[in-house]
Amino acid sequence: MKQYLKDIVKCVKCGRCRTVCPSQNVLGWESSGPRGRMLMALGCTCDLEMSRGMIDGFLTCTTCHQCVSECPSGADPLEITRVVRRELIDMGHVAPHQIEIMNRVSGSGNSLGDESPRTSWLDIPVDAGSFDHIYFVGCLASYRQQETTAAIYSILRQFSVGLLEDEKCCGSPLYRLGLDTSELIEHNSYQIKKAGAHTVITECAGCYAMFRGQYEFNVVHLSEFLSDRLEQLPLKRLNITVSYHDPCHLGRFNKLYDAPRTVINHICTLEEMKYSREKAGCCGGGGGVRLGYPELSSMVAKDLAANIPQGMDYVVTACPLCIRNLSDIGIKTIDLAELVRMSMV
Amino acid sequence: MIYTRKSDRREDFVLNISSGGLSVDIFDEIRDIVTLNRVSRDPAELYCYSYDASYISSTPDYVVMPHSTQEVSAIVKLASQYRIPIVPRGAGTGLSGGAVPISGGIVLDMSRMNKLQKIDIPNLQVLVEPGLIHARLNSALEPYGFFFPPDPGSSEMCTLGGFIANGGSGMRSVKYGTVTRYVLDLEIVLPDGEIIQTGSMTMKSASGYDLNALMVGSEGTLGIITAARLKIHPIPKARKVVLAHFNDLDAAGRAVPAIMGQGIVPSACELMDSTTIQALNIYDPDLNIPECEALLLIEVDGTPCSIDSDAVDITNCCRALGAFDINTAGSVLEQQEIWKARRLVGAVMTRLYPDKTRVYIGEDIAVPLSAIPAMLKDIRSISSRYNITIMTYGHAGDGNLHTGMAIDILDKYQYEQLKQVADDIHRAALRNGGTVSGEHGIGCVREIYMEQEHGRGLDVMKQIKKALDPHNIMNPQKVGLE
Repeated sequence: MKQYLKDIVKCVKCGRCRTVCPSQNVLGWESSGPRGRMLMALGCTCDLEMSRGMIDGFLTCTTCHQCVSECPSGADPLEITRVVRRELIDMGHVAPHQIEIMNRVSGSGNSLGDESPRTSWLDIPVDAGSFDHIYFVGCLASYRQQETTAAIYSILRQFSVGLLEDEKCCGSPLYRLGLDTSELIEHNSYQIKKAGAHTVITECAGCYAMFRGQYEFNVVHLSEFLSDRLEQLPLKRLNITVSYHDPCHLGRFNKLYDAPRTVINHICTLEEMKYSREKAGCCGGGGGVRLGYPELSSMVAKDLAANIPQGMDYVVTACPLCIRNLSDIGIKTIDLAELVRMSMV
Repeated sequence: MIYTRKSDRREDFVLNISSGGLSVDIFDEIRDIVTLNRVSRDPAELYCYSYDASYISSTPDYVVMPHSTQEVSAIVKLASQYRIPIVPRGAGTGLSGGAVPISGGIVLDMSRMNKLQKIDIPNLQVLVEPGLIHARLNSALEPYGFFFPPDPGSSEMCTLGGFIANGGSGMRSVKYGTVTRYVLDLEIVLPDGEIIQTGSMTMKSASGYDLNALMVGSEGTLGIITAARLKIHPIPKARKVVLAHFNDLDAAGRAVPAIMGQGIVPSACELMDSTTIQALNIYDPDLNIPECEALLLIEVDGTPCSIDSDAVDITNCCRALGAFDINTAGSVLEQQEIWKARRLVGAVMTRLYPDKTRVYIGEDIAVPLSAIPAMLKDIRSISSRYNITIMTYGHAGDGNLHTGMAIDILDKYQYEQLKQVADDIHRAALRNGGTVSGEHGIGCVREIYMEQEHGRGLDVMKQIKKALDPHNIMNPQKVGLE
């Protein structure tokens, strides 16, 4: 960790991050918040004894980015946390949920461990032609939202958007947990190049952030692509009111706030949450917390739920983890793509 | 068996880890009071709690997270029995090492006792638990048209318990006073574990010694605050912020008493030097503050008529002293943006010098208003003597100046030099008839100045400490009391 010392001591320990950290708000302990993690990282540079508290402290980060967004001194506790997670793995401290996600992806190519074909939602073979734009579907959309995925692809195909012949997990769940993603990046990059594409369209917030940060292609969110073509889409207006939850990896990570709202406003009535955009809450599902610390994950989701206006038909979001975590606590949550499907004539 | 005190004091960032070494083990007894998931002796947890936002650290033996006054009382009784040091802590945002367990022992993390128990508008007061975050109180009061006036820069993260225990104040204290003016009553767990009330629900009291005032600023050395009844204030009908730019720092300093001399008491009066202005612009480029030697941010509040009239007088006063660009932040949003940036500017200094880190040291002196120009001159002279940039900003309206220095904290030479700079600043403040701390407290970083500042008064403080805490378990080695 010594090579990261300069980055670690950027933290002036002011504590601004501790009040916005969703995990620390639930757990309370210093080790469960960004300032504590920066201090533990500092301790790691001078042989602070490894302990259960340290491992839990680093693994309970939901990677929501609030600490980075709020830090007045420009420190990046999120990146330091990711680096320490990787170092812990290198030292042999691998948590059961890290092993599980690693096994799922290496065994099946997707984060769900589903061994069925990734394109079973598609009723025609993947067109192996050349495309400027390809639709990177993502694991959850491929296996858990197949009807919606088929509907979305039927729209995209009209705009000459292709699919990868052999798409695999983008690597986001592994990357956030400090695991190696080089093979996945290499594989998907090869596939994209093979398709001749310069731009990747994706809907999953995790995939979007992963492509933005770790791949070398232009990436466009589905909402950006659709919002530029709304008048050409076969969509009807729905008589419902929804609220939009900004996924951390789309919002704070990549400042993508407007395009999803443009699409929603085109389809139905949008009512904002009390805290939205860069101040949006975290669903508690990211960073491996849903898998490794389900109770914490659920409590963070409940904190977010207090932020939702009364009487919404749905909460719309654009991240499979947000959908699952909020749905699990009884909130009717749908994907933006699903809202688009509902609106299709 | 009695706990053997240890001394594990470390300075930023001397990279070593103490191994501790308990002479008594009371983990099970603490666990019986608070349950297992609210006590920790995990080495990483103890390491996290060895710090606050100052440059001093020292490792505790246990961290405990109480949920009630009764739990606090039971733990303090246990600590008293074994003579184990006990250190209360809010959010650990203190800048003077007040929450650092210099003698080891138990750190009581009070941040989970964070309820706003009652908003009592008819009686103009609130009842809060000590772990409530300062800004959350004001958010809760806003719909009622009320606010809690003393507003520290750390409003978004500091707890009210820590704020009271440090005698805190903030940007609006020039008009509204420090926190002590707002404390009506405190529930305190004394060093023997007994629970007392220090005041009442009334707006004033002439009944006996003012125990509220004794506890405010006592930094956890006399007892632990477990609840606070605080006075609140109606939000003024209107506010206006005047921004006056100067090409002469001294002139800006002279403008402060001149404005007061006009019969105007601003609700805030903040001075910022050129380095601070650069930091503000880096943090929020939309502010787009012109480059100049000094900026005065003067807020007035009251009725729409009164603030307009005050703003005109302030403008004339600043112009007469050479201000070259004077304008007002009209909208509430503009004002909020300015104050938000100002609140965080201390830490923002690190962005200004990406290879350096802001260290909070010698950062909180206060001098009489008339001595502000002399103090500013002294700061410039120290800066030049050591060839180090000293970012100067603060609550000029009450003479409280913050001095910010950023260094490569891994460079021992720079670090030692920084301590010299801080010492010179502290001694210059005392020479100018001031104090070494306007609002951050003494903790364990400014104790060496206590005798010079207080003389025999310090002996009285020591006697009070001894009377209330004969075994010296309550936050020992703080405030220069030993």
